[in-house]
Amino acid sequence: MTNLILFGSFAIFLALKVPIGVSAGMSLVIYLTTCSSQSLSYLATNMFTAVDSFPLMAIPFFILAGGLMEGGGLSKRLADLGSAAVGHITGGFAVVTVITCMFFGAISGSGPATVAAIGAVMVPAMVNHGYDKPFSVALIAASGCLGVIVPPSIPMVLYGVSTGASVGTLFMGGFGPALVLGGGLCILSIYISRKRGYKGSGQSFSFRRLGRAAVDAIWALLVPVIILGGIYGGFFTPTEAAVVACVYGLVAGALIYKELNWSKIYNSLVGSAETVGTVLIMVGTGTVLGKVLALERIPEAIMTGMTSLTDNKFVILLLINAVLLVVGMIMDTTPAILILSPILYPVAKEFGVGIIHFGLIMVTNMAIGFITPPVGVNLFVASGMTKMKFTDLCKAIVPFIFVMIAALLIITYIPAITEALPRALGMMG
Amino acid sequence: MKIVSFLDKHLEEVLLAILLGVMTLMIFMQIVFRVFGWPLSWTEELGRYMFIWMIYLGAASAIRKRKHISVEILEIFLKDSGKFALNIFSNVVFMIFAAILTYYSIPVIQRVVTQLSPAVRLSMAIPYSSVLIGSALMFIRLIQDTIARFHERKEALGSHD
Repeated sequence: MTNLILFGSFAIFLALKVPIGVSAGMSLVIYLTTCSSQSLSYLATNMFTAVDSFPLMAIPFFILAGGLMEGGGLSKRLADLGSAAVGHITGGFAVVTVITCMFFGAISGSGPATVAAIGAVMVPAMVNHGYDKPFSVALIAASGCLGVIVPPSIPMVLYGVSTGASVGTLFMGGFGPALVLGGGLCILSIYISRKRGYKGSGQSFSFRRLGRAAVDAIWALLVPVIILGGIYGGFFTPTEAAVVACVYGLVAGALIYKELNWSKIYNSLVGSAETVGTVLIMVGTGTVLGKVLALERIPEAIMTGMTSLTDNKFVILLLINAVLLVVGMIMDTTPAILILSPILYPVAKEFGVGIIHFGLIMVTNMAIGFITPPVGVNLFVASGMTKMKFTDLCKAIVPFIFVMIAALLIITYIPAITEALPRALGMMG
Repeated sequence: MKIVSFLDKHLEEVLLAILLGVMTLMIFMQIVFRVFGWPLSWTEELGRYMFIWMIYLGAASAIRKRKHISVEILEIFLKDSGKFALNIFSNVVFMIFAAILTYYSIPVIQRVVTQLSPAVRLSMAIPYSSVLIGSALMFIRLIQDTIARFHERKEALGSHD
């Protein structure tokens, strides 16, 4: 009965377009007043304590860093570098889009931010070179998912905070899966481009042009080196690394590329802070909802339910992936990770799945959720930015979803893809 | 009057820009001082409290810009009048939540007012007030947004005639 009240009211509020964080909050209000002896001050206290965390503070800084680097012209230079490297091959611009998103993902920790930053540069370039528009827009929406797989990554910060996994180790674990996903998207792009006869840039490859683009983009290319090198070298925490990225983006954008001015800086600050408000209010209520679910022993119930179905690791992981994909289709990443990772990780652990590996399985699922209708935030950003009809985009995105699910299964069933790098660096016990 | 309308338009924005800007510089300073062997004890704590203030002011500002994240499936099946009703309903539920949060954070603040933070020795009422002030501001912004939606609806109906 209690569970029905909690889940039922949550589902109804969600369906009626109440903001996700508020839906969780109001279902807690109903639960606390009807089924619990706790006062509503419990909720008010937790709205403070749940977000009083230094690791969570990485989120505003990674969002701000992305904004500053886009405003400062770093994303444009990354795209130029990509064109100089592989622009000449068949489907070159499509491959450039994927690779540029991977580079930008190493600066930003967000999927939609990657779509916005790289899409603004690459979609017009692709359309001008004869690529069909729905394909181009779908490609940028899908490649934008790499933003959360390539470290740094905001969902990984959330997973680390909610399960206690090391955020730095999760970041290192992201490299292997990012290569699998990026590789899959490149292969699909080249295949479609061959079939439809999309040509390269027409310019022949030249080392001189590549060299010049690389020099021009050097300040952008140094960002991931500083962030990851700094975390791995023990110089700073992920949150501090994000701050360094902001200061770096500010200096590079304002003093070196001279494209960042006061009004762009002000707008980045305000925009990032507002995004943080919408995300972290979900962290507040989502964390309390997670606590209440634990009190009500929901994780144990789900664990017994799942293990009574089968004791086969392969099937359990398939089941978990199916659940996460469906949730990812309708739910935002933040509450999904905060509510589901404490429920599902114990199940996975029982079957010998490591905490870092499971984190990457979760984050990959959530990344696919960015491009699955009806609610796919990358689709919204991409269609809004290019004025393309949402339904047309949903048709064009289908092959990309299949490729990403294939990549997800590879990542799920070959743990070494995730764990090899952190293990080689001695970050895993 | 000018001041009131400036505050109405930009209050949260200006505070947000200052908070995030100062936080960035402060944590950067924390790194620099540590590298030079002079670790600071107060920057992390103060940064966290500013972060929480930023969250709740940001959530209020995001109401004005209609940036809050919700599941929008139902809207696909609705006509304009249905969409309007849905948005008003969602605003009302949000308003109730903001009111509850405002009201129930008062006893929490009274309880912690004599507690001092470990590093800065700040009364814990100051960081905890973020939830109170933020949710009160959210409530005000929701009323404004609801009124604005009614005006938009009226105009949209008028233009059809």
